[in-house]
Formats: sequence, structure tokens, C-alpha cells
Amino acid sequence: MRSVQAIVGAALIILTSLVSLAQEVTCEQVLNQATDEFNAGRFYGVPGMLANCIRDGFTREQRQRAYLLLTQVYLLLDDPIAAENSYLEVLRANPEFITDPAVDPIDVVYLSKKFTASPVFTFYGRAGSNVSINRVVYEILPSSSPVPIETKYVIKPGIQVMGGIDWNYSEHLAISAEIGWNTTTYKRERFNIFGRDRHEFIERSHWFQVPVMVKYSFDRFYKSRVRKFLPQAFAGVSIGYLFADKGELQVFNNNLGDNGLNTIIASSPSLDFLPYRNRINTSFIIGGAAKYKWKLDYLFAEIRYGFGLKNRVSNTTTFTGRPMQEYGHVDDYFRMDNLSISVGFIHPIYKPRKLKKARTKSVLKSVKKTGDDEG
Amino acid sequence: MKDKYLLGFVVSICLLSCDIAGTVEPLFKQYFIKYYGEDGDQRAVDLVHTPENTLIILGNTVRSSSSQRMYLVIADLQGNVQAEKRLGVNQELARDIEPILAGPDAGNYIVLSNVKKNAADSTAIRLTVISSQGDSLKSFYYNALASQEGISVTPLSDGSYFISGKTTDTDASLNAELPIGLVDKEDQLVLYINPDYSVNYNKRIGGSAEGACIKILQGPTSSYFAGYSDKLIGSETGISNYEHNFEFKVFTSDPASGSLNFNAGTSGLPETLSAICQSNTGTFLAVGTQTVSATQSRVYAALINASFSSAVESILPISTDNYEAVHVAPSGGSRFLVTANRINAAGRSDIWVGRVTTEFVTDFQVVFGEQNTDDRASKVMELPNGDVVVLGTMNLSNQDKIALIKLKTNGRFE
Repeated sequence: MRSVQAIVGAALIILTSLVSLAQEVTCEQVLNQATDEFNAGRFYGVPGMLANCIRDGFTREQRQRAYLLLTQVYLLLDDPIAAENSYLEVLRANPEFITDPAVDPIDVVYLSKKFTASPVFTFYGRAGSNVSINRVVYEILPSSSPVPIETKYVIKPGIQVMGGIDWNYSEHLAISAEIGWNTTTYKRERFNIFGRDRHEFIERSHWFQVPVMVKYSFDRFYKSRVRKFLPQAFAGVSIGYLFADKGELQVFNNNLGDNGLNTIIASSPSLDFLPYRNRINTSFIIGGAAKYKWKLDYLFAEIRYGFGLKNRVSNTTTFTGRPMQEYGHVDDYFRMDNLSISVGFIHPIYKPRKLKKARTKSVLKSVKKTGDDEG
Repeated sequence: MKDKYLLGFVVSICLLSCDIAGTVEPLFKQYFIKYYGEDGDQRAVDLVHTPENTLIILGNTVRSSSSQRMYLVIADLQGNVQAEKRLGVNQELARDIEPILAGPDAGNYIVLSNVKKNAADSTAIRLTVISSQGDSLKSFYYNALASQEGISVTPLSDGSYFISGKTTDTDASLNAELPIGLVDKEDQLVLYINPDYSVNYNKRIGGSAEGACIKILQGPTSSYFAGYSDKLIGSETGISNYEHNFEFKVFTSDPASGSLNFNAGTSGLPETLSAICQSNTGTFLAVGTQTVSATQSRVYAALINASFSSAVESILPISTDNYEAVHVAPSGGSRFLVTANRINAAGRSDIWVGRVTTEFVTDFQVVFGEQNTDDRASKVMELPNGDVVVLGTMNLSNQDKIALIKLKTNGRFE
């Protein structure tokens, strides 16, 4: 009994697949027949021929071709409203469709200039790594030494995960806002404390970041013919809120004893440094990105540099608490720059629509130029 | 075009709001904690404020168990070191530094130290004259007794000095009245040193099993003795009443024969005096430690009138923690700055600083140090502009360092 059910089931699946295949082939044939009708100058029957397949049979690519054909048909039948509606459907099928004066009829090219599908809003996400560069405003030495104390800041990697939205003011210009989380890490080493001692301090900070930027998108890299990679430049301000901050201290207490140099290492637990930090920080950011088109979306890689504008250290708690009073650690007043590299994904929200002001001048120029070349 | 202007405006605002050295207030320069030291442990003892607006910080350095010397730091009022040097000989520990008011060495500073002798627990006293740059100019060595310990030095207006202290080389004839069973451990000791550093007199003061002269103060016509001992006071009798009390007296030429003016302390509870000072209005405040039990002690204070004849006593109402009084200094408005060691349940101490009124009300108090480490107070002082300077020893990662703490007049860094 079970084997009979299995055979019947398999037969149904194969049959369904064949029917589906037959329908696709049919719609492709219908589209070809409609194109042939159009080329033969029989315009009136074309919309009717395509109606069924438009309703539920075409693939996205076939819909684009079908509606482009209908656009031409309606233009020739002097039905501009139907032509415009058909062209809008072309853009819905392929928001990035651009007419080519070399291939497409000039009246379609002309009509296309009244429309756009460019996204008003673009969503994106990015993630990557960063390093922080400390800019010391005031060096604060909590101790004296017969030998001058030396301080060295060492960069350490952090990470960031951000999401953003672009409001596309024009084809090239966008205002962008992001929100996300990043970590910053650095190590500070201080030498010659009390003559011979060394202090190490590693700070790990967690931030909410809200960058707001102006972005400019270029059509291509300078003089490049490749349009697969699109460059972008941006600048803006980022407001960061520090919500977690941990620091670890290691003190290498080196004493010259009877048996040479003895070192006692004292390590702190992970200490909360939030009380010693200003929670709000602002940065001026600049950067650039390269976008790679992937289907209707983009992949991108960007590099950005944030110039920290604010002193990160609270000047009211400098000498309080365990860091200073148990380990002899005091922070310099410093700003923190940040260099980050991210990769991400852009999802434009395409919106096919008629323009308030058609951009037809370029078509006229193109026609004139073609005419001059031929003459 | 408008967009460019807008962008330029935003960028300008951003860059103008950048924190740089000129826009960030460097609070840390005036009010701070600074640590001083070298290899090993360095422990604070005392400091003086010089007319050149520097601080001479006196301490001791222990670089190994066999190397202990006096350690001197000269710093400006921002804590920047101008000089650091070791003074004296090995096994010599500093105890006090005071400005010399008159005599051939006026304008210099006198350092009191105790020098370990060969015998165990036996010390001699040394006075060293140093310049305001910390250079040692001359010294005087006192070693008349088997052992003597200087606690403070008082330069007088005629160029002579009082050295206050104690000795374990007790004079049995002075302690004849002690009851059988009470071991005579120490006598109070007062040395009167002439301007040429010869000894004018030395006086052992007995009558108690334990005691010390903490400070001799110079009055208009007499000198004031401040110390502690376990002598019987008032109508007390019996061996069990030999417990420590503050002891004050006025004398003109002989501290041993000076009249016993008054005591301060609670009957049945021992109080040992730590320090005494005179306020700007003439009153005195003596502070010491009252031991309530093996696990509780507190700061006991006696406010003495300007004629040094009577005292009003109180326990400083700090908290329920254990305290050991360390030092007291005059503050503006007839108030006093007091510093003490606050001891936590684990037996670790922090540096406590407070300002008290003549009604024993604290108008600020602040604590420095962490619960896992031993941090100890040494001295507190008010600068002429009202800033508060605290000297102590803080344990940083298993090493003791001298800590200079400078606070605003409200006891805060900011």
C-alpha cells in the first residue's frame, strides 16, 4: 500500500514540474510572439497576448521585457498614460533598468527620463575592526622619579557592529545616520616609576555610537571604466556613549636587592573605570568606501578615521579610588582617535516614481551628438 | 553652494569644540595625590612649608632590611620634585622637621631623628640642621642614656630647642611610688638644647610605668608640656587605675618639677596623646587615641583654653570604625585639621582627614586608601591660601610610598 502511495506521489511531483516547465516555455513563446507582432507593426493585439502571462506567468526578467515592449506599443498607439504605467512596471521589475540610446527607441529613452527608481532610503549594516590612537592633552604623572618617567601608548584591536540608514538627497548626496556598538582597546606602558618600576594598563571600553554623516557617491573611480566598484566619501560627527569600561593594571615592582634585580608583579582584577571617564564623547569622522554591486544590493568595504574631540578622562575623579590609591595609576587627560575598517551590506529601498521635473536635456544632447557624428 | 557653507560651518563647530590643553582645566595641577620614592619602601614622617613656597617632605627609606635612612623630598606646591636625597647614616630614622626661628641657624630647618645603636631597641637622638635645599649643614648627637627616643623638636624664639620624647632607661628613684607588680617601662624625656647645640638639661620624668612627652610648646612667658602617661589622676588609687591619660602642664624652667596642671581622659579607658597644636585664636587642640577594647579605638580630643589651664574633652564623632589619632594642625576660623588612621575590620588602615570646629563638629571628612592595603597618615597642614595638605604613606602594589595629598579648602580635589 505504501509503495503505491509513493509512486503516485512521485508521479504528481513530476507532472507538476512538467506543467510548470510547459507554462514557462509558453510565456517565453508568448513574449517572442508578441515581439514578432510588434515588429510586424501589429500593435493592437500585443497587450492582449501578454495579459495572461503578465498576470501570473512571467519571470522578473520577462516582465521587464514585456513591459518595455508594452511601453513602446502604447507610445506608438499614442496612449502616453498607459506607456508611463508600463514603464513604471519596467522599473518595478528591475529598479536599476536604464535605457540605452544605442539599443532602445528614442521615444522610450525620452520617456525613461521622466522616471526614476533610485532609492530614497538605503539601509545598511557593517562590521569590522578598529584601533584607537590616544592623543594626550595633559600628561599626569602621579609619582616622581630620579629618572624621567616615560609613557608609551600601544594600539590594540577593537571591533564594531553598526547599522545605518541613508536618506538620499540626490543621486550623489546622502545624509546618513548610524547606530551601533563598538569596543576600543589600548595599552599604556609607563617606565621608570620610582626609578625602576613599570606599570601596564589595558583599557577596554564599550560604546554606543551614533554617527551622522554626509556622503557623496561617485559614479566611478577616477577615470576608471569599471562601474562595478563605486567609490564613496563621507564626513560627519559621531556621538559616543560609554556604557562599560574595564581596566586592568599590572605593576612590575623592580628592586635592586642583594641578589640582583627582584621583581614583584602585582595585578589588579578587572576594575570598573566608568567613574573615571566622561561618558559622552564626540568625534569628527571622515572616511571612504568602495561599493560592489551584488544583484540589486551592494557589498562594501570602508575605512574611516574618527578624530576624538573630547577629553575622555573625568577631571573630578582623577586621584580617587583603587586605580590611584591602590596601584598608583592615574590617567593622562586624553582624546581618543579611532581608525576602523568595516565590510558591510547595503540594501537600497528602490522606489520607482515619476519625476516632478524630467531630465530630458541629456537625451536631446545625445541625439544632437549622434546626428553630428553621422553628418 | 549653501550645502558647502553648511558643511564648513559644521566642521568648524566640531573642530572648535575640540578639547586641547588650552580648553581643559588642569585641575590635577593644583589638587592631587603625588607619590614619592625610590627602590623599596619609603614612609612619610613630616613636612614643612617654606617661605619659598616649597614643601620639605621628610620620610624614611628602607631599601633592604639592612639599609634604612632618612629620605628628603623638596617639592613645589604642584608636587613637582625639586630635590630628592637621603640623609644621615644607615639605621637612622627621621621623626620631625621644624623651621628654625632664631639663633645662628635661623632660616634653616632642624630635623629630629633617632639613630639605632648596636644594642637591640636602643636608639640615640640626632638633630640635623638642613638648608631649604635639603643640604645637611651640621648635626648634634645625644646619647647620654642607654636608650632615648625623640618624638618632636620645638625650635624656640631664642634659638634654643626642646626635644620631647621618652626613654626606656628609666630612673628608679623617680618611680618609687609605682605599686609592686607594675613594670616601669619608660620615662618621659625632655631635652633642652642651647643655640650652640650643647645640652642645657635633660629631664627624665617618672611616676608612671609608661609615658612620653609628645610636644613642648612655647608660650608667652612659660612653656607648655603635652604628653601622656599612666599616672594615677585625681582620686584614683590601685594598680588597675594605672591607665594612660593626656597630661598637660605649664613650666618655666624645669618640666620635671613643673606643676601638674590638668589631665584629659576617661577614667577606665586609656588615652595616648598623638599631637597638639595651637589655633590662630590661641586655643589648643590635643588629639590622641582612646582604646575602648582590643577591637575598638577612637580619636579623643581635648580643647585647651589659651592660658593652657583647662580642657574640654570629646570623642570625635566620626563613625563606628576604629581610629588612631595621628596629627592636628590649625585651620582658619579657629578650626582644626585632624588626621588619623582609620582601621577596618581586616586590620588595614586608611588615611582619614577631617576638619573640626571648637564644638567638635566635623565640617568635612575624607578618607584615602583602599581596604586591601595599609595606608597611614603622618601630617596635615593648612597652607596660607586655605588649601589642605596631607602627608601619608600609601601602600601601592606591595610597596610603601610617600603620598602628598593636596586638597581644596573644602577637602576635595575639585
